[in-house]
Amino acid sequence: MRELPEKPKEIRQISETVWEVPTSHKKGMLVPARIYATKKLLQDMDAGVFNQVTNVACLPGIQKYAYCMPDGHWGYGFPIGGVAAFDSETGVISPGGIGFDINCLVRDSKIMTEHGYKRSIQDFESDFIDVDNLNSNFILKTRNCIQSVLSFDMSQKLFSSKEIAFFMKKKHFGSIFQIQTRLGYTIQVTEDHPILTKKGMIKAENVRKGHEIAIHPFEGVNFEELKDGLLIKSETIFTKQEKDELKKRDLLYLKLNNPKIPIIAKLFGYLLGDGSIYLSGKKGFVCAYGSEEDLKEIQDDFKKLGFSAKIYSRKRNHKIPTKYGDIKFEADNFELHLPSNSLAKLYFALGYPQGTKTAVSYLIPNWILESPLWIKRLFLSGFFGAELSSPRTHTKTGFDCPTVSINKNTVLLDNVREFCIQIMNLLEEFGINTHKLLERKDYKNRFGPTHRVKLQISSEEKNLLKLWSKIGFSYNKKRETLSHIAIVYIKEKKLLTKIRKNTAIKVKEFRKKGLKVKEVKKLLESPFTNKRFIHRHYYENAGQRITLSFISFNDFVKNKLKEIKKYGTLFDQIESISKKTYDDYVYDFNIPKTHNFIANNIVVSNCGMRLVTTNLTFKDVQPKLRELVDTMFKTVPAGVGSRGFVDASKEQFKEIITDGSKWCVENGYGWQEDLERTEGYGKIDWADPEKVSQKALDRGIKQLGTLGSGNHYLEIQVARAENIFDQELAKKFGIHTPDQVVIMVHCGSRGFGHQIGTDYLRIFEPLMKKHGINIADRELACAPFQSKEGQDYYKAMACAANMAFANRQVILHRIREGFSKVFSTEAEKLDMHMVYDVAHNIAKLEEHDVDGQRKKLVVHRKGSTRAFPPNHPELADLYRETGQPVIIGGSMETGSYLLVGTQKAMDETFGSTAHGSGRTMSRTAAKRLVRGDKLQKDMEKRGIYVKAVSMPGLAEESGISYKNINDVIDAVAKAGISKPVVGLKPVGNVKG
Amino acid sequence: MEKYKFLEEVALADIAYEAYGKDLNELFENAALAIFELSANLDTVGTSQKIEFELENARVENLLYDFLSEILFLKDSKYMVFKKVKVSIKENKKLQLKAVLEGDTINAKKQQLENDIKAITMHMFELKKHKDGYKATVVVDI
Repeated sequence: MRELPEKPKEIRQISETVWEVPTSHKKGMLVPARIYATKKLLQDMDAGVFNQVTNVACLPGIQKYAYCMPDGHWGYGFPIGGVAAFDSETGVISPGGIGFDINCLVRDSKIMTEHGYKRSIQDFESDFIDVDNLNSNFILKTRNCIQSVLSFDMSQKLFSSKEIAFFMKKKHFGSIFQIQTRLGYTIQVTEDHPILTKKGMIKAENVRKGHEIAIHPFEGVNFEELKDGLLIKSETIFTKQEKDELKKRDLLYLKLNNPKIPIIAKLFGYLLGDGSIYLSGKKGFVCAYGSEEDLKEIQDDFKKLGFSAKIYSRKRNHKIPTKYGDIKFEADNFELHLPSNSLAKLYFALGYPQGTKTAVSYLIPNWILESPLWIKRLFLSGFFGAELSSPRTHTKTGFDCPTVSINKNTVLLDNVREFCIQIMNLLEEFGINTHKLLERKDYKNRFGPTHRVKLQISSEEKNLLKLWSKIGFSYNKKRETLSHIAIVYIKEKKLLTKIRKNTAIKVKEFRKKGLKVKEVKKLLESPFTNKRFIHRHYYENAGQRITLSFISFNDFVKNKLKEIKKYGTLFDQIESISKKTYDDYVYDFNIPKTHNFIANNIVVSNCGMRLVTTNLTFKDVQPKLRELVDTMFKTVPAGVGSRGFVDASKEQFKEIITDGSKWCVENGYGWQEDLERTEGYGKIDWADPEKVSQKALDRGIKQLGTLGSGNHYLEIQVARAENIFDQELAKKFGIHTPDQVVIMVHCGSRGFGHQIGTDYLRIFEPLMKKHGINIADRELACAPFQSKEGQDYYKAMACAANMAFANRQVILHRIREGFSKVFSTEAEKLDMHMVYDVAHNIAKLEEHDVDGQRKKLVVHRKGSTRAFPPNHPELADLYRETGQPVIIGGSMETGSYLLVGTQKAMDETFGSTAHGSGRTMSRTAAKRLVRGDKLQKDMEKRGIYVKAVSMPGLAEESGISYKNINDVIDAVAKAGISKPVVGLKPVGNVKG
Repeated sequence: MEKYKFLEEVALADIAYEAYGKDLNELFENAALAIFELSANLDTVGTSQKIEFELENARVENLLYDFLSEILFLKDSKYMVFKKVKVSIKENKKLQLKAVLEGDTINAKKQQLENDIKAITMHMFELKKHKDGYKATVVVDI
C-alpha cells in the first residue's frame, strides 16, 4: 500500500476561519498556504488537501498565498477548492536597462547579470540544454547550471538577481519595434513585449512617444569566459578538518573558473576596505562593517559560498583621531561576524592581509590582476562600496573628484603607493582617468606615525559616467543608488548642452541667411536658450556650458529618490519609436518568481453552476414534480455516452467553442438577457479552435446539451422563507416569494474539455522533464504562460470554457421548454430568468492588488467560484450595485446556497470563494456503504424525487459522502469572502 | 492473480485503482478492464462491435496513459462501452502497442451504465515493475 501524506505539523491560526501552513513546512514552497475553514472543517480535511495546496505553493510565479476553500478536498494536481494566482509580468533587464521582456528580444540584446557583466542574449544559449519535442521555429531550453540575471521585483520594488529557468528562442517573421529614449537608451523588441512604465507593464505596440519607461543606468562590462587553472591547491596552511570544510563547499581545490570566484572577488574588495579577517588563538574570524541593509547582502553572499554569518548591532562611542584632533560621536553600528577557520585561511591564501591593515603591507593579488575584466570590476566595486566617496557636487552642477583615502603607517608608504597605482592601472583598463596621488602626514597609531594617501578620479563627466556605469558600488545601496541618479543627471546635462550647441549653430545659420536677431530670437527662444543666449551667439563666437537655470544635483537627487521610493526604479522618456523588418530569431528567458506560469490541467472543463428562477411556488410544482423531473431526465440527457439534441456540424461546433453562449442565443437557444447574467457574458474572447485537437473536437461535438455524470446534476429547489437571509438582495436576484421554485444546473464541457486537458498535459510534460523547477505531482505539469505552448493551452482552454457556457445555455433552453410543456405556459410568463451562471473550474487573466500594487495575474480557480464585489468593472450593470451572485452547490440531499461576492474576497483570495460542500469520503467507500436504489427510496420519502442513470453513481453522491454544506457556508461567511443570500432545498434531481 | 483493485482512501472526488499483470500485455489489459467496469455493469454489455487501434511511445508509462485515454476518446466519439480487451506490446526502438477492444454501442435501455469517466489524470500515475510482474496506479476523473 502506498504511503499516504501526513497533515502538516505546524498550522497557524490567523483568524477564526483562516489557517496558514508556513513555507517552512515543505522545501520549495514560495508562499505560505492559507486554508479557509472552521476548526471542525479543518480537522476533518484529508491530509491530501494539505499536500496538494502546499505543492501548488511551490509553483513558480505564485502570488500571496496558495488558497484552499472550506470545501477543499483531495483532487488531482490542485486540491478541489483551490485558488492560486500567478504573475503574468516579469522580465530580464535589457540593454542599457530599458524595459522588461517576456517576449521577445533581438539576438544581440545585452542582458545584465547578477555579477555585473552584460552578455548578448543569444550567447546564453550554450549554457542551456535542449528540451525535446519542439519544432525548429520555437526552441525551449532548460538550464544545466545556475545563471542569474538582474530582474525587477515588482512587489518588492527593487532589482535583485533571479535565476533563469528557461531559455527560449523563436523564429520571428515581420517587424519589430525599436524604441529610443531621450537619454539615448535603445531597445528592439517584438510588438507584444511588455515594457515597464509608470502605469505598469505596457506592450511595446502600445507605448507612445513621451511615455516614461523604466531604466537601469548601470551598464557593466562584457562577459568573458573564466580561465581554467588551479588557484589554490591543498595548501599546508589548512588542517585536515579545514580542508574537509572547504571541499564540502567546493572551495578546494579552488580553480580560477569556480562559479564562486565572482562572489569571492567582490567580497575580497569590500573586506579590504571595511572588513577584517584575523586569527584569534586558533580561531578564525571574518568581519565586515556597514549598514544593516548592506551587511545583509554580504551575509547572503557568504551564504552562497556556504557559510553563515551573523549581524550584530551595538551602540558605540567612536573616537577618530585626525590631524585636527579627535572626533567623537556615538552611533548604532552594525557588524557582521563569521567565525570560520577555513574561510579565514582561504582568504589569506588568496592574498588577504593578516593583521592590522594600516601596519602590514599588501597588494592586489595576482589572480585578480590576471582575471577577466568583469572579475576585476567585481573586486573594484566591492572595494569602492567600502572606500570610494559618494557622488557629490561642489558647485550647483559640477561633480567632485571621487576619492579613495587610505591610511598607512609611514614606514609602509611605498607599499600603499604601489597598491594605489595598481588600482589606477585597473581603472585605466576601464578607460577611467585618475590624478596624481596626494599624500600627507596624519595621526599616530600604536605602530607609529601614519600617512594618508588620496587616490583621486578625474571629475570630467565622461570619466564619471564610465566609473559609475561600468564599475559602480557593491554592498553599498545608498551610493549605488546615488551613482545611478548621477549617471542620469550627467546624461540630462549632456542632452541639454547638445540642444544648446545645436541652437547656437542654427543661430549662426539664420544670421547667414539674413535673419535679424529679433527674428532669430522669436524662432529659437526656449527655457534653455533664452534671449541673452541667442544674442551672444548671434554676435559672438561664444563657448558652450550648462545653463545656470539647470536643476542642481542635490535637488535632482531629491526628486529622483521620491520616484525610486514610489516605483523602485528610474525612468526615461521615449523619444522615438520606429518599426523595422526583422526575420530572425527572437529570444526570451523565463524567470521563476518574477515570471508567470500557467499550470496545466487545473482548468480543463470549466464546470460551473447556473441558477434559474420561476414564479412558481412549491405548491404549484409539487403535484407535477414527478412529471417535471421525468421530462428533464428525457430532454437533458445524462450519463455515459449521452448525446445532445444540438446536431452541430464541425464548422458549427468550431463557432460554438469560439462564441460560447452568444452562439446559442443567436441560434435560438436562449434569451438575449441570459448573456449579461453569465460570467464574462458567456464567451471568452481569446478562444482559438485551431489550438484544439481533432480528437477533442470528435469527443465534444455531440455532447452539447448533455449533463454528464459524477457530481453533475440538474436540480429543482425551493427557497423556503426561513432560508432567505437577505430579503433585499434576494429580491434583486429574482427570489421574492417564500417557497419560490428555482432550478440549478451543475455541469461543464464534458469530454471535450478533458480531452484538451489530456492533450496539453502530454505536450507540457516533456517540457518539464528536465527543468529546474520541481513539481511534486506530474498532474501539475505547466508551461511558461508566454511560451507558445502556454499560450496555445490558454486559447484551447478558452474553447473548453466556451463549450461549457454553451452547454449550460442549451440546457437552460431545454429546461424552459420542459417547464413550459408541463405547465402549458410560455417560459417568459413563468418568469424563467436566469440568476447567474458562474464557472468554478477556470483560469483567467485578471487584475488584482498584490502588496499595494496592481498586477495582472493568471488566477486559477479549481473548484472555487469567482466572487466579485459591488462595483467591480467586470460585472454587468445589472449586478454592479449588488455584487456578483455566487452559487455554491451542496449534495443532492442537503441543499445549496446563493451568495454574493464581497470586497474581502477581492482583498484576500483574488475574488474567490468556495464552490460546493466538498467530499469527505471516496466514491469507492461510499458505494460500499450506500446502495443506490435504497437511497433513491429513502430520499423520496423525505420529499426529494431523484432520477438517475446509474444507481452506483447515485450511491457515490449520497449526502454522507460530503461535508455539511452549512459548515462550509458558515466558514465563508465568517471569513467574509462571500455573503449568504438564500438557502435552497432540493425537491427534484436529475443525475448522470 | 488479482486483476485490479479500487483504492478507498485515495482521491475523494475521483476514483483511484491499482492494476496488476505478470507482463505488460496483461497489465494494460487489466488497467483497461478496470475502466470498463467503472463505465458499465459488464454483465449487461455484449461484444457486438470490435475496434482495433495502434499506439507507440518510447516510455511505457506514457504508453499506458495514452492507451487508457484512447479508450475514453472512443467511448465519447464512437459511443461505445467495452467488455473485452486484447493487448500486444512489441519493442522495436519504441514500444508499439496493438489493441483489440470488443463492446457495444451505448444504449441506455440495454446496458446498465455507471460512471462517465472524463479523463485519466497524471496524479499519482505510476507503472512499476516488481519481481512477480507489473503494477500500475491510476486516478481517473469522474
